Amino acid sequence: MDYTPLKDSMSERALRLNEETVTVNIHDHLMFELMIRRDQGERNVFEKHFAPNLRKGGINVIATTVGANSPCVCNLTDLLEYGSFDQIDALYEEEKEGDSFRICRNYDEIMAAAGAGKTAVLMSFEGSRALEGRPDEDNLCMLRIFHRLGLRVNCMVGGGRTHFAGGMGDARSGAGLTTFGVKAVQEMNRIGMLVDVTHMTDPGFFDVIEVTEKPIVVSHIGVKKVCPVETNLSDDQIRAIGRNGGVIGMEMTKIETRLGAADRGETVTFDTVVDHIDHIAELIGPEHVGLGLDFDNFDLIHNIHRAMCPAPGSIEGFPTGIPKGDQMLDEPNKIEECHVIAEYLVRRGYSDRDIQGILGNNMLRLLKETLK
Amino acid sequence: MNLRDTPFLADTHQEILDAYVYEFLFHEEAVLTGRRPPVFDSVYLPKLKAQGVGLVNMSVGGDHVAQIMYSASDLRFWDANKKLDVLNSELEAGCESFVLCRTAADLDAAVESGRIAVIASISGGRPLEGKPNLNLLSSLRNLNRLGLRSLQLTGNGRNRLGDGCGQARTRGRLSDYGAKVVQEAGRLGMIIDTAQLADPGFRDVLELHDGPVIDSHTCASALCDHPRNISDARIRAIAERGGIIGVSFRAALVNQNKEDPDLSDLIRQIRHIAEVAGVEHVALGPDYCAYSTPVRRDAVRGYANLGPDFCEFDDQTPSQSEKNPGFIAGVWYGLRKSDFVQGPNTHESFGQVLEALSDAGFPDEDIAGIAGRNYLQFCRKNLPGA
Repeated sequence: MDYTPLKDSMSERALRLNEETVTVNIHDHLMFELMIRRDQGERNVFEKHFAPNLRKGGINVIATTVGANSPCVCNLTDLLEYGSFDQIDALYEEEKEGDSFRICRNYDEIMAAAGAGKTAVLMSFEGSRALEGRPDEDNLCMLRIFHRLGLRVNCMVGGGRTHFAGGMGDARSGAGLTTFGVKAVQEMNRIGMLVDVTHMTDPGFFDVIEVTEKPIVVSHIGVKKVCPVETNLSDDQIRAIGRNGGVIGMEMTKIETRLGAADRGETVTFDTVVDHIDHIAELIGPEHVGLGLDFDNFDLIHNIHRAMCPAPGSIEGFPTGIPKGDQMLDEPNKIEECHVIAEYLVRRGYSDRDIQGILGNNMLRLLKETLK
Repeated sequence: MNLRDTPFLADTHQEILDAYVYEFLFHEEAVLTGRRPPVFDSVYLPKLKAQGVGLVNMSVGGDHVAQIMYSASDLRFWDANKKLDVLNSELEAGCESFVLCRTAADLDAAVESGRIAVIASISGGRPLEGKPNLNLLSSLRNLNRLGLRSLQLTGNGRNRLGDGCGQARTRGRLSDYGAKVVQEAGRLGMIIDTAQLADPGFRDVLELHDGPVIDSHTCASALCDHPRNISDARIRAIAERGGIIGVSFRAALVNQNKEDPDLSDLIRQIRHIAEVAGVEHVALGPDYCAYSTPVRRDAVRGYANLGPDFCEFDDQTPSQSEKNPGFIAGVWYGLRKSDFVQGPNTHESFGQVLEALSDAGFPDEDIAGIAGRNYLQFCRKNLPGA
């Protein structure tokens, strides 16, 4: 398929919208590469390797995954709690080593950082195993401890079953939230942590919708209507997010954007993501759309999603095997190309207000309503 | 080579090939259901054939994490169990190219039939530790039931059994738990390996344990005063017990003062240890493994280049647990281009040592002993009879 990259032919309007918007990416995996570089002795990695690219791509706010359900997002340790602490510690050290980003805990801190020209960094989890605490006890102390350390976005599940709920790998159980899961959602509401329902199976997803008193996020996802993969949202789920007042972060891997495109080696650009956005906008309005780019394309790590599947069964529910090649969209393919997103939206007829909402304002509204 | 015949070769310490464990996990279901042949033959056997060994002391885990992305785990108990499961599963699936030696009879049968004789070991006792507040021996006995026959007590660091050479400052002997483990391992007929153990712990082992001990991968501190190396007194003590010293090919241990020590440095170590211990107590324990000190750019790519194509790095890739480049568990190995001596730095080039020994004037008889017969005899004598 032919395509002409848009990044070199940006309209004045798209450039202006980038300039005027505090752009938010609610899901990424910078820490994987950051930790490897630190392990090799590098310091101030964020300022050297990430900040310039984020600036170039027009991204002002990121939620970065500092822990989760599997070793690949916990600094490569099976002791997930320890690996998460490790990464949080590294991020605090990095904050002192340079001046390019600030760790933010709430809306005011986010806006202050963005206003000062720094990247506002939120800490997030992709999966809650590191929060489980003792195996035989439903104890919320770890959730609160991680919150005190800065964790502000928590994905309830990764691929499989946690003590809280089930992910795609747990689909056959038909299980919803556990009692511990219900308690955790309530506690997150109370302490000011954004609930992320990405990867949840239907029963758990709708349990969260019922339990939560705050709007929620689906941090990195597409819609089934456009790309019918297990991970993507059904129309019922989308409508539920609409009623909840939540926001859906648009995912940027080919696998969740166009079915089979990555395997067929097809070109896929943000134009296809706009198909997903169109569908959500039609169902519940564009004010429920944001960005959850899930970028994994870095200098050392070309594909974290490849890293996540070292052997069958290791990532529950995800297709096993090693995906070959670049899983990211062809445009934008890297963080530094993300300013092009505005151009794609402009060309598809979205209003200034809608585009600014999708780029950042919708997510900022959500963060304002939830974080403490 | 000037040798009349290629002697029987043995390796007193190598880590189970990470790529092998990885490949098995990747094809586990197909292997166990017979839809695919065991992967040992396609992945590991070529390496061992190239190395030429008929007997391998193979570490299936221990104190140090090598490649957690693939086969290892920070949950050391789980890690060792998993790797023993891989070996056992492959055998149950019909693999005929190696024998997991549980008895001396197994070893003899393996050697006779030309199969690789594998002595399963752990390089450090962390997988045994069990519940943190109880000195339980159940893990030791269960791993023994699964085929574990050689037990190295510590890595460089401290574990619940004792202190490794990197913790020599404690001057500590074995713990109560370590003492219990040594006695129980002795009762089970396991081989005690004192590699990496600090001196007080080593002396303790000799008091607690009547049988012979080995040091599976070390060099002499008389020639290279590195924390990992052992004194002549310790070499003598092992020999007096009828034990074996496996000479390591690690550059830092062979000659830490050179950037690239070579075969001549290694031969000096072998000669010295043979002089101190008696040549019949010397063997080769190169320490081929899936990690080394993280300094090279290509090694960094080893992290990023994930998947089966990772295999090209399997001899030299960085330790992912290492925060301090050049160190392993607090012991300095240096920032080197190669972690091994120049020459026999891979499975494939192992045989170069025999030529070098021959060129250095070692008699064929001695070379045959060092190359494999000494360790073979030792295992024959010290593995459980039946």
